[in-house]
Amino acid sequence: MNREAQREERAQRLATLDMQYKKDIENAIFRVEKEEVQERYLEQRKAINEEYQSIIGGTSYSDRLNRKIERAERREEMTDKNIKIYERICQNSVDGKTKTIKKSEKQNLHVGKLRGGKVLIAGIITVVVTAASVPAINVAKNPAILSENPVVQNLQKKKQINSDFEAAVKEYDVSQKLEDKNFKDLNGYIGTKDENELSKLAGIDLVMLKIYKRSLAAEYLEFMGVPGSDWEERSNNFANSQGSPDWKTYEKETKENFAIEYRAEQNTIAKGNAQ
Amino acid sequence: MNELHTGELFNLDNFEYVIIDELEIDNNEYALLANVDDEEDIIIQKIEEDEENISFLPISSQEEFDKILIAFEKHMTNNVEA
Repeated sequence: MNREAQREERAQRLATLDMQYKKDIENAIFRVEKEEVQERYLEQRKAINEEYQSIIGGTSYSDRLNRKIERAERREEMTDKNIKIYERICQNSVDGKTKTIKKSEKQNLHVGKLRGGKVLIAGIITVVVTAASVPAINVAKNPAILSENPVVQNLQKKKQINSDFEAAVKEYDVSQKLEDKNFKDLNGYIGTKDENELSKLAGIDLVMLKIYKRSLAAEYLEFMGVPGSDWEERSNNFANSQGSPDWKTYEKETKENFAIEYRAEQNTIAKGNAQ
Repeated sequence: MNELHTGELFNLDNFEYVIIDELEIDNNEYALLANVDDEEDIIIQKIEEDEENISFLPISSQEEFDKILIAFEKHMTNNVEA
């Protein structure tokens, strides 16, 4: 089954599930029953997504984006290599002198070797022509055309946006803003109260506040030695160790506040160091 | 009618080349040859024959080369798929 078919199958299964979910919710009269329906629905959606991700080999958005960029860069490298072959064939064929051979000196290549050779050369010629034909046969004369490829440009733009965004988050410095607004002693507040409320009280952008909270939780899990190479892996590993299928479910179930715990640990360490 | 066939070997400039494909375009004969020791060393030449000799002539321009390369690509793809 190809990717498109897998995508369609997944979309169909999700659509059926969504429809069933709406019906079940309508039928669920009591609150508890509604929660059970919601839980079952989320589990099923997660299972479908996991199955799909395992087929397409994707995990997070950034992983998928990086893989796309790698593939595009690889394509660009390959195109570059094929254009060099094109130039070599062109030079071999156009330059040089006439060579005359006596017919009596002809020999034949072994038929098996020839068959393999024909397939190989046909493949090379196809990729060379394709590379050199995008967008015109004489692209070799203008390699800049490659960097104008819209797919490559679009991916590079997304990569740039991500990196700009990371820089903006760093520059925004929520921690400093909390201090400036006299929330210095209330850093724990960030997890205990509603984010919307704190955002209004401290005059801090809500998205930045959420990112800050997440970064504190990430630092905490790292500090606790939870295994994983990044936040996603580490948080899911932690959730699994607590018997939850993933971080989101765990957070929802427990309302655990890692920001507070982390700050408390840091304060204890700071106090210990000061003494 | 040319007597050149796919699979025939020729020594050109001290390298052994094999004819991978031949084509007639605008009443001219062309051959696509590959170095048997280096598959990326490919050459397209115009062919002229008399009773005793075969001559491999360079292609006259890059534009002509592009046209012939594309024709070979189509021909070879069809043959491989067939």
